Formats: sequence, C-alpha cells, structure tokens
Amino acid sequence: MHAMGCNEAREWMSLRLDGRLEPAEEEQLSEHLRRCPSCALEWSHWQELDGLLRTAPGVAPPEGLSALVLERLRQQRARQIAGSLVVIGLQVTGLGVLMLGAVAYCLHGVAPVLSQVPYLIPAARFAATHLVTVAGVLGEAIGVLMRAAVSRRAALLAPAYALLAAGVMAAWLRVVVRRRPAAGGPAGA
Amino acid sequence: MRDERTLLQQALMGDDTAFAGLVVAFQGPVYNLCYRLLGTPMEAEEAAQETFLRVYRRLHTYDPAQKLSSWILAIAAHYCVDRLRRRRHVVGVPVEEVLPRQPQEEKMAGPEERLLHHERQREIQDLLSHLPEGYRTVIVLRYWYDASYEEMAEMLGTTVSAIKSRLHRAREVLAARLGESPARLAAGESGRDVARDGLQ
Repeated sequence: MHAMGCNEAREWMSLRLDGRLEPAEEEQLSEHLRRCPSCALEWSHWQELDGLLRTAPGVAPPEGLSALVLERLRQQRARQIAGSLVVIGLQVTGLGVLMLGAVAYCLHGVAPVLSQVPYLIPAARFAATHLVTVAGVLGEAIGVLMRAAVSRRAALLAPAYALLAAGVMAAWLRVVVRRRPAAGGPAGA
Repeated sequence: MRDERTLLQQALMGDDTAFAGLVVAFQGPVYNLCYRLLGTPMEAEEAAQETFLRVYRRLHTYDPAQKLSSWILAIAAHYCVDRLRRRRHVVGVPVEEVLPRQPQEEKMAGPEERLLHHERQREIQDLLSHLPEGYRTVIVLRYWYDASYEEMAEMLGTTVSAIKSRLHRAREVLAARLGESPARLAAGESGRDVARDGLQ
C-alpha cells in the first residue's frame, strides 16, 4: 500500500461520497485522514456539504404548467400554418403573374395587357396595376431571351415555359406538404 | 392510468391529451432541475415550458433504449446550460429573493419553520450560484436526481471520467465556500421526493 498524497486524497473524497471506493481504498483514505489534519478538516467540510445537499428540499412546479405548455404548442402550430400559407400564397401569385405576363406578351405584346388595367375591379386596381406592369416587364425580358434562343418559336415556347414553371411549383408544394406532419404530429427537431 | 411510454406513443400520433399527461408526469423533476440551475422561479417556469416544447418537437427522435426521464432531463439541462451561458454575457443575476412555492409549506407548523426552510433554500441556491454551469449541472443531477456517473455522462454527452472530475471540482469549490460561510445551515425536512417524483 503506497502512502497517499493530499491531492490524491481529495480526489478520493469525492469518490467516497458517491460510494465508488473499494474497501481497500476506503481504508487507505481513512488512514491518510487520520494522519493529515488539513485533509481531515477538508473532509469534514465535504461531509457537511454532502449532508446539506442530500437533504436539500425540492421545489414544486407552478400550477397549470401543462396547460401553458399546450397553449404555447397551439400558438406555435398556428404560426407555422399561417407562415406556410403566406409563403405558398406568394409563390402561387408570383408564378401566376409570371405565366400570365409571359403568355400575354408572347401572344399579344405588352400594350393590350396594360390597356386592360383601367377596367380591373377598383379595389384591386392599385395592386393589379403593379403586378401586371411587373409581369409585362418580366414577360418582355423572357420574350427577349426566348427570341434570342429560337427567334420564331417564342410563342410556342411560352406555354412550355409555363408548364415547366408549374411543374417546379408543384414539386415545391409537394416538398412543403411532405414536411408538414400529418394529424398535428410533431415536426422535425 | 396510462404509463409514460404509452403516453409518448400516443403523443407521437398527435394526441395532445397524452402529451399533457407526459408534462404532468415530468413537470416536477423538470421544473426543479430548471430552478436549481437557473436560480429564479420565473426563469425556471419559462425554461420548463421551453423544455417541454423541445420534447414535443423531438418525440420522434427518442430512443426507447434510453430512460425517458433521463432523456427529458437531458433536454432540460442542455437548455438551461445554454441559457446560463447567454446570461453570463449579459449581466450577473443575483440570487433570487422570491423563492418558489415549497411542497412542504402546507405541512410546516409555524412561521419559524418556514423561515428556516426559506433560509436553507436561499443558502443552497447561493452556493450553487457560485458554480460554473457545467459543475452546477452535475451537482444538481447527482444530489437531486441521484444520477449515476454513467447516467450523467450519457445525458450530458461526455465521459465518465469527465463527470468524476467535474463533481470533484464542484465539491471542492462548494466545500471551500461552505468553509468560509459564517453560518451553518440547519438540518431540515427532505423535500427531494418532489424532485424525484415521476422518476421512478
């Protein structure tokens, strides 16, 4: 049995409190404590601390904690659904405007589309004016690109472009729907 | 009464009532852990709520080989440690004067006993507040939840030797602190039944 140093003794004190010392180690530590007053004093503090913590009271949770958790859960779900709907709505609107602008430009040019603006429903006039204007500009840009690629087939490619865009949109929606848990189950971590 | 595993399965299927049952089953241990780590009833309540929201989001990641209580307490402990780290960068928070409701209060005979009990709570919380978050966590898990080294290592994602070392260092700090303290804490009733409630 080797003579134990104070550092080692301190390490073993912690293990002793957790019942992790073998009987021979227990004896070795006790022997050291008998011979070393400073470690013995420290051990008395450790024991006092241990006793204090072992009898420390628990605290009771506040009333209605589970109801509060469920309420927050519902709020989070509502926010998630609202957020998803807004994003989907924006995507669908954007896609529709792009398709409309591209097709309208390729078939008729931008002027007739803009000429319809004053006849739109008054309540939607402001938004519609801007959307159609933007769509016209985007449509023109797309038309230029298409003409550059295949000069006389622009009108035929416009529907193909619209179909492609719709396909991408559908794939995107599918991903979004899949990521949403069914029947209100938990979402991903 | 449905057991906790059944509640978990039903909560996974989207049954909110079952999830509420899980919250009721573990609210005592979770709240107590949050209170001991964060030190104030208000923060503990908020942290307990956030813990259960995280539990809900991660239900599908639960490994049945693991003890359910350990899994939930690990989520609570990680959240509280993160919170303590963030708080350290903002401002030092003193030990809370307003103590949470005690489960033994109803049984206490008179104001003297209550005062003693509150004083004891305050002193323990004051001691804990001097520990870095990593040390505080192992002390709380060891004393209030009787967690073994192996359980703590699994919950905190570390090694058994790291847990031993943290416990040793934490006790050193606390014993030194206690040695300096002019007043000794009086012995009182054990209230750890509440902390362990639902962990059996």
